[in-house]
Amino acid sequence: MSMLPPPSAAPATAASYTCPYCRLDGDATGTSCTHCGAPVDIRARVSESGWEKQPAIKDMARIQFGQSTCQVSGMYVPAAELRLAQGESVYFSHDSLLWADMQITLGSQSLKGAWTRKKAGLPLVMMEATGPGQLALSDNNAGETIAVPLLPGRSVEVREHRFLMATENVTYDWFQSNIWYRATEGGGGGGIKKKAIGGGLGMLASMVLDTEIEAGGDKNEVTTHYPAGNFLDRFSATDSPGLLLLHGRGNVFTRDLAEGQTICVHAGAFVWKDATVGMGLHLERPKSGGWFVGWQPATPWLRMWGPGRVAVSSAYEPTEGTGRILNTSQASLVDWNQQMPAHLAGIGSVRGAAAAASTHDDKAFEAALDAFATSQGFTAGKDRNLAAVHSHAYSHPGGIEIGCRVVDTAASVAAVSSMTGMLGSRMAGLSGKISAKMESRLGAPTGGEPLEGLGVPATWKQTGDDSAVLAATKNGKVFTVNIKARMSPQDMMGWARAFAAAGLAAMQ
Amino acid sequence: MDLIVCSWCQSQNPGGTTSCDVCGAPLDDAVKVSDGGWREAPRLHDMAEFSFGTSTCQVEGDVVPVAELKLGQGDSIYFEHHVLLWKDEAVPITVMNTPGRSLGGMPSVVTVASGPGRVAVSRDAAGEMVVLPMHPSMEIDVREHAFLAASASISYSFVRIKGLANVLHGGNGMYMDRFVTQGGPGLLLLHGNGNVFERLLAPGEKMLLEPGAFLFKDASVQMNTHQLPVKTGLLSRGMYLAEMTGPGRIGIQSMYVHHGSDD
Repeated sequence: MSMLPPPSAAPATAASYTCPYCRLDGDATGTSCTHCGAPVDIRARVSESGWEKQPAIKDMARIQFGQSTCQVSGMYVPAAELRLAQGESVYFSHDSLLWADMQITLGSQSLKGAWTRKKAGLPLVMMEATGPGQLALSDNNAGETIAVPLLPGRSVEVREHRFLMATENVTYDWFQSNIWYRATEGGGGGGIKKKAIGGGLGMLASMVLDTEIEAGGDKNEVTTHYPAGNFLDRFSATDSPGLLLLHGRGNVFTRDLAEGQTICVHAGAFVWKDATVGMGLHLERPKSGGWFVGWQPATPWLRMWGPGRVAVSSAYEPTEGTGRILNTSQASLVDWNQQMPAHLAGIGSVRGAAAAASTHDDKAFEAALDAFATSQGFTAGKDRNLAAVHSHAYSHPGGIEIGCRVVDTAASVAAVSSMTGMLGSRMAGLSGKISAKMESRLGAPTGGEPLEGLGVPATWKQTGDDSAVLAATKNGKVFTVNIKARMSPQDMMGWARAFAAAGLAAMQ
Repeated sequence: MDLIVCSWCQSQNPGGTTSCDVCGAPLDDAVKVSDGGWREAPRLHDMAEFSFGTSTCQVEGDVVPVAELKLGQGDSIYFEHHVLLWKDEAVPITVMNTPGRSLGGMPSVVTVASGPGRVAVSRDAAGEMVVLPMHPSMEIDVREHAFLAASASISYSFVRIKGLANVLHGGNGMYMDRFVTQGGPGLLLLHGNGNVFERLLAPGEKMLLEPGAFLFKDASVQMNTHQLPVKTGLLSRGMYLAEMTGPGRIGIQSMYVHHGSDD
């Protein structure tokens, strides 16, 4: 039997490893990245939308910087324990210091422009610690410690009060975010105030299609808001690699934005971003209408666009309720009242539901009325198009005021009925009563005399010495012509008939 | 193929799956029940995913969990406006009509996000996400400002807590959010501060709770104020607890809002 020796084992070498979080090469034989402390032996957790969960630094994991080390301990509010070598320094915000031994040298760091920040109300004193010795830093919110190693030439911009520590070779600067808006003071209900509108179900029903809500109310105080903070901290590595420690509240997620890719982020959730990532104010006015909510203040967002990395935290600073936004820094604006697709309208807005359900083609109707009115020397006034109610006003220099209104009654009632589902079973009875009341209110005026000659059921009613109303019903829609003029009833009827004929011809 | 019944929502899942497709609860974890009879709400695995309608929900994070929702065409969810963490730019936002909500002292506006597109919601306190799939014809009452999101198939209203004593001293405010399903199922997401526990009360069975710990209950559970013969200060009125009477489920949170007893 030959004694074939086993093949000799290959000499052990450190496997190459690129940390998916700090993107630096390291040694895969350890359990955590020596640059940022991220665990080596776990797979990346990336949500389907592309947000990558920054893994919490393992309890007792060590990060090397220079000849010094940082050990992160704890799970809920982690502490960064620094063992500084002789002559090596870090700086940190004074309110982060948890403990220090007697050997460490502590002092304050002079900062240009600190007065500006002080004026902004920030209790900023930047402290410096020089080894040898040990100290520990921590935030006072449940969350994660995030290590951001900086290679020479790299800059990151950080939300104020997220900074925990940086090594001495990382330069620190701050600048105004220039993201702001001025708004009246808000209150309950997002800063809306309802005008007195009277009581009763009839009034309640009228609100559905013609709500008058004003913003701000009597709270006229104006406040400037800085959704990303008044200042942003900027940290840069210039000649040599440095280490930056941040504290994120809750869990922290990062994502790479491609060139031009955008995301809207809760203003209070932003933690840090590459300096290459653009950030601006984005206002979205939600689709609104109907019950008690005819007006809503715009919601401020941070709109961010690539290229570069962005980090957000799941626990955010609550945004303050505001009233009407008066002016802003440069901002993009989306008003979903203008852009709401029809199939979504019935979900949150009775007015939207009515608009979606309406079968009235107002463009053709309005064009026919305008053409007739213009040919007779009338001037078109302001239109009022409210969901399933469309109104057009005309005036003549001779003192004739005409108001033409079409109500898609069936659509309006259906829209109100849809509230049953939104309000819950407890409100079903109320919703039914409102529907019934609306049906009677939106129908043809009662008590009028039948009017022949228009080809559809119609009535005529004198409502005053100089006013009258003609009502016609066609295809489930009620068309009324209100006339106000100092002339004989016969002449008023003549004008009303003429407008009614012009409108009915175009009404489907 | 054997089916696995989820111990949290009772849905049936194909064998071999590790988390429930309806509520995301781990199927391979033992149910943890304390000696006192409280069951820990399932701790959802990071990145656990489940579906509702044509949409999916993925839960991320373990300190302040985030619900990331991929909304299908025609699907919608609603939530208090400030919990929206991020959104695709193209996802439209609508204000839900909630008459009287501001009158109830609730400053938040309930908004609706509609698919297709992605949004993410989270609260701003350390805790757990509680996923409550709702079968048709269910009613659940939730502590105000504890609901994270609900699918549009669930009706939303809010109810005044019955009993003047409860309003004045019970410490849970005047209103609770009420979620009701009618013909179809729905998905309700809550956020509990700290850890969340649940128990099932038998008919007539009572349990006293710190009012600030109350998180949710079946509508069949009665909630009233119970005064203890304890003075917590010279001028104080005494100590009040919430008395819950079955039948039905109740849920509590361990990091509660302490309302005090002498204010």
